[in-house]
Amino acid sequence: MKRISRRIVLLGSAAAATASLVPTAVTRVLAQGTSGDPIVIGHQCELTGWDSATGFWRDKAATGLVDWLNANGGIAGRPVKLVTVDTKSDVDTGVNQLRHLLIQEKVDFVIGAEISSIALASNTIANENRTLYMTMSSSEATTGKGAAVPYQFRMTTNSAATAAGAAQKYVESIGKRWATFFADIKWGQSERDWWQKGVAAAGGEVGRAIALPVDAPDLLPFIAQIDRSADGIFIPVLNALQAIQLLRSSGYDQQVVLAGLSFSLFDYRELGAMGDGVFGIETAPVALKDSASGEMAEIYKALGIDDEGIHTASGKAAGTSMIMGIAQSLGFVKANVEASGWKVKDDTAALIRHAETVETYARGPLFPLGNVIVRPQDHQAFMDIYLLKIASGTVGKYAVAPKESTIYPAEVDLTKG
Amino acid sequence: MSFGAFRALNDVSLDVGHGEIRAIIGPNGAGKTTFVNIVSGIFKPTSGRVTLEGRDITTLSPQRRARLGLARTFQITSLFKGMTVSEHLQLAVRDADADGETRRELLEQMGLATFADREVDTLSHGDQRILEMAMAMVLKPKFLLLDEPTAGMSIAETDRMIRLIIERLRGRIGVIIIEHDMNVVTQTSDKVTVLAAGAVAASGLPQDVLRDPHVKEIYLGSAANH
Amino acid sequence: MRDRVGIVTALGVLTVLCAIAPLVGEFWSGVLARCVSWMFLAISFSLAYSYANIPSVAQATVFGAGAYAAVWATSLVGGNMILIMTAGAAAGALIALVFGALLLKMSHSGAAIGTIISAVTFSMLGNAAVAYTGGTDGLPMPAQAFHLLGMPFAVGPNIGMLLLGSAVLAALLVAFWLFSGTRTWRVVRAVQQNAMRAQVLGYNAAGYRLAVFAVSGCVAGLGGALYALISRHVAIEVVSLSMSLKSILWAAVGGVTSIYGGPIGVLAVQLASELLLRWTVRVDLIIGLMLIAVALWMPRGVMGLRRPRSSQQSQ
Repeated sequence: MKRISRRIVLLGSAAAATASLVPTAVTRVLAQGTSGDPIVIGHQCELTGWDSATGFWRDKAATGLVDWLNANGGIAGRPVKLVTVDTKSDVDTGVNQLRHLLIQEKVDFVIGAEISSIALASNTIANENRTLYMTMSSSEATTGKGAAVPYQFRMTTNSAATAAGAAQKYVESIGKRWATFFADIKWGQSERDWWQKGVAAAGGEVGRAIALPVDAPDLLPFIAQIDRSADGIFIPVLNALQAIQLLRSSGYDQQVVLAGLSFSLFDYRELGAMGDGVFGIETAPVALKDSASGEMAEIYKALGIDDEGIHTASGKAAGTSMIMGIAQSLGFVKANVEASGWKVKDDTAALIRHAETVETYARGPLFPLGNVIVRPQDHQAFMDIYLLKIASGTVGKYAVAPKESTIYPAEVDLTKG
Repeated sequence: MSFGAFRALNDVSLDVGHGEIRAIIGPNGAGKTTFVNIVSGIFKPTSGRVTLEGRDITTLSPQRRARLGLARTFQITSLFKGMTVSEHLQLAVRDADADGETRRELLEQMGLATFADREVDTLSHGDQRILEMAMAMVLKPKFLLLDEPTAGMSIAETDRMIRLIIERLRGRIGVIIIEHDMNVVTQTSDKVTVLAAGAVAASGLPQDVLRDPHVKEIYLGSAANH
Repeated sequence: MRDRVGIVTALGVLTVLCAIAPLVGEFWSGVLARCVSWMFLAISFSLAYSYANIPSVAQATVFGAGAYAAVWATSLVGGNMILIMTAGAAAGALIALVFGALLLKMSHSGAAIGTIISAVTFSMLGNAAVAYTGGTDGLPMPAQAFHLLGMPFAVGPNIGMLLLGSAVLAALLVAFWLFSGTRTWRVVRAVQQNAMRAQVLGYNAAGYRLAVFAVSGCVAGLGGALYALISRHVAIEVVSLSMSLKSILWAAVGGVTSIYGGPIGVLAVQLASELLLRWTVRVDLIIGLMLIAVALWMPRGVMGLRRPRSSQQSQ
């Protein structure tokens, strides 16, 4: 149970300052073009099925950013080839598709699925195949005891980290008394528990948590049980859009906080006037003005997203947390391939050993919103968390929870194995 | 016996002795098949008792009643697709399969021996009805319920069935026979009970009952209604 | 009464699968191994539907019970694969007995609805009982030194598991084939065709139906255990209604009235899905159209294509 100490973070920041020179140099060299065999990255993505709303953004991000990489020197001067497969949001298909990537496509690296069951079933297989698996699951269990494996890293956030970082801010600004309305599945239960811990640590309290059974046809009877005297309501449910609409139409005018990364599940504009007073916990804001990042502007441009965060081709508001997860995963692969001298798949073990020594990834083209620290013990990344608020039909930055506030104890130490 | 608010049978009491063949007649909807279903255990009566040789079998399941020696046939031929005549008799004897000779004899006597290995779907309607009878008789039951045994049969097939009933059942076991064909009733039955609207309208010797003006009226009334 | 063509076809299919496994490579061997575990599920549906007269939409729940039992058993008894498979089969039979006892009190359509309710209820329970099932995340198969009859055995989606699964399934099918010539099986068929008629012949129709349903549960549970050993991870999805619907589709394509059709149905649907996935994300749509075509032009599935009144027609 090791935490990243303040000293390590400070050291990491110093190292990052030095490392930040590298991407600039690399970019300059690589701009001259790519050569050699392509580095093949497999993408195990939810293109269809119940999680396809978030899969849409991961697919767009992976495709667009690989194109961007190839236009900007590739990875270590080599072109990057992306092979995307559809999990159909289903474990068996997801695992089969991963095996297809590993065995038939012989990919060098994999960006994994977002659905935790697929991710958990897959990381063991990738580990056996000695292929680096960049999980996109936001279930903290994926890097926890019994599930963490050496060949897996997570460059996005998770339930434990978002709750730890966001709870304090929201308790301070919204109030101490909270109600939770959660999906009665592993993800919802995990969000509920971490939120409760975070609120308690911030001096607040969570009253009775209301469970929403999976496949419940009608949310109203469950919503009616929510404590009306609570200052705020935390809702880790999959059908957040419907839940918010019912909350508002049932007379609940409290501030509502959606669970981490919920804004990738639906377009916030669908809430209309009911969206006012709804907060989110994401790894990136939506409008460019809220990030004030040239790198983010470059990514938006590469993906066809306008300054307000609207994807031009589809007209949808960008699922920025998904985009950030993909960008940082590609950034991780690029940084470590180049720094470890990785050439072929057999070098991946050495790449991992190297990666475990890199504590900070400096702000750069694929880390557009600032430094990201990676905990070597469980291969979990920590980044600033953006607390977003919908007001007057627009989602904007409300606050930022610094990455240090999102750190929670690691359950494993992969560096010892 | 009631189905919801509808009372299908009301105060119907029948005592059929050993060796007696009792015909139950009556217009459609009189409750004849309901009566057979109650006796065979398919329906549970809302009140009343069913006894077999003095033993109360009211609460017993159909299979328990069958094992105590109560056999029945169905109004609609109820044979098993894809099985042969011989296999039907094997089913009917349950675990008493050792008595293969009895089965062969029975098939001979019933005129089914040449069809023993044929699937029942290929038999004529009359032979299928005879096979139903054979299945009911093969275990030498103590009591037999025949629900319209000649339904759908030709005149020749009906005569064959009448002969079977007279030769193989009369005086041997108790039989209740539900019938519409008065020729069958008069030739086979010792007594006749008439059911109308779920109640006993008349009972007695066949010649007396069938001459009863009240019974005629029941039938004519029924015919007029149809 | 024994379906010679059926057993020969099914064993032929399994033999071909095992024979081609070394040629098609690691990936396809894994795909086929998983297909073999699903064949048990398809067969269990056929048994429940065609011989226990229970149109069960809860077979995946029973299959899942076997899979979870295998994971729990591995934690308790280690890597003894015979014990693990036995645990799966026993769990499946037990759940089916409980379901069956309830379902037999319902009408035919009532039983179908009852199985849907059972499937949804168990899915919800599984989601809520995270400590035991891992919920939506699922449970990994504990890392153990697995062994079969004293020999070390590598579990996972591999040729070894394909061979094992096929051998167990072949043994099961042969046992069924032998049993289908017995008098007891004749009674099962009689009960299935006309329970009331069988009752007045002295047979306990409900007892026979319950026994057949328990056997179908045992088959599904055994398949679930094999699935757990192949996948090494069991998620609540496995017990979901959509998994049960898949089993119905497999059985329908193979021919729901013949248990020998299940293996063919699984292969036809799953291999078509797997191949189509390489070309399009509209796989379910295409499979759906394929199934409509089967329903229209092959209502009795692949096994129904044989001469309708041959001596091998039915078990």
